[in-house]
Amino acid sequence: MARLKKKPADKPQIAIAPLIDAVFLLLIYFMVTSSLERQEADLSFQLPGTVEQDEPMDLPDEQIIEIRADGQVVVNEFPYDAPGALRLRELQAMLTRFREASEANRTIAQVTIAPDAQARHETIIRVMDAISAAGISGVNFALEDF
Amino acid sequence: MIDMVFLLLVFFMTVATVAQSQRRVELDLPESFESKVPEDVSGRGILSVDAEGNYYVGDQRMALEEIAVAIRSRMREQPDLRVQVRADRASEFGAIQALLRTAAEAGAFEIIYATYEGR
Repeated sequence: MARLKKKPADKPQIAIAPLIDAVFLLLIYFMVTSSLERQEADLSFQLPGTVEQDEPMDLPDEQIIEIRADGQVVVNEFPYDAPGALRLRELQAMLTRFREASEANRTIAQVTIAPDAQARHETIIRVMDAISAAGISGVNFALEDF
Repeated sequence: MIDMVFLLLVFFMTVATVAQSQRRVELDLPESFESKVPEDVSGRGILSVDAEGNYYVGDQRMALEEIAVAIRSRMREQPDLRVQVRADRASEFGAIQALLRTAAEAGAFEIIYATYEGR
């Protein structure tokens, strides 16, 4: 009788050791995957052709965006956003208006970025972000020194 | 048994990703909100610029003149070559500008900046 009574208590026992093993493994797996490199994304543009540049052609509407060494974005001598801002909302709003105006005139909105040689790459990417968010796809870089 | 299988799986996955990432220089790329993770990464030449303004092809440090030669020889085989520029967020534009000019002179006009997707 004593043996019969004991049996039901044996049943729900779970082997803990392999469970811990598995949990450890999962823990290690997630630690490894989370610390892996972040995926790289794309931001593309076309460089001006060196040959076509010299020829006179039907110039579309163009805005030149200057980036100063301290990160200040300047268009037509007018500063936009604070240097180091993560999202350039003022610039984006201006560029959206510019694109809409170009569309109304049936021309192509074109933007040339002219950064200072000391401007940080990060700032340039933010400007390109604003341009892209404004719906302008014609982006150029001033390759000549100003 | 299952433990072992798990372990091997994790091992191979880690090795695969590490092997893939070793071909490039480690950089702190800038973040962008408008960029997209590409589905098609074929036909690209990857050039890296670090924060000090050194140039790399893969993980090999190279001078600009060598890069110009490398782009030209690749353009011959593949005229629609797209150049992917991986630049550190602290890189100065002067270094990137020189690289862009080299690419343009070699005939590669399509440039892609590598960024991290902004969150």
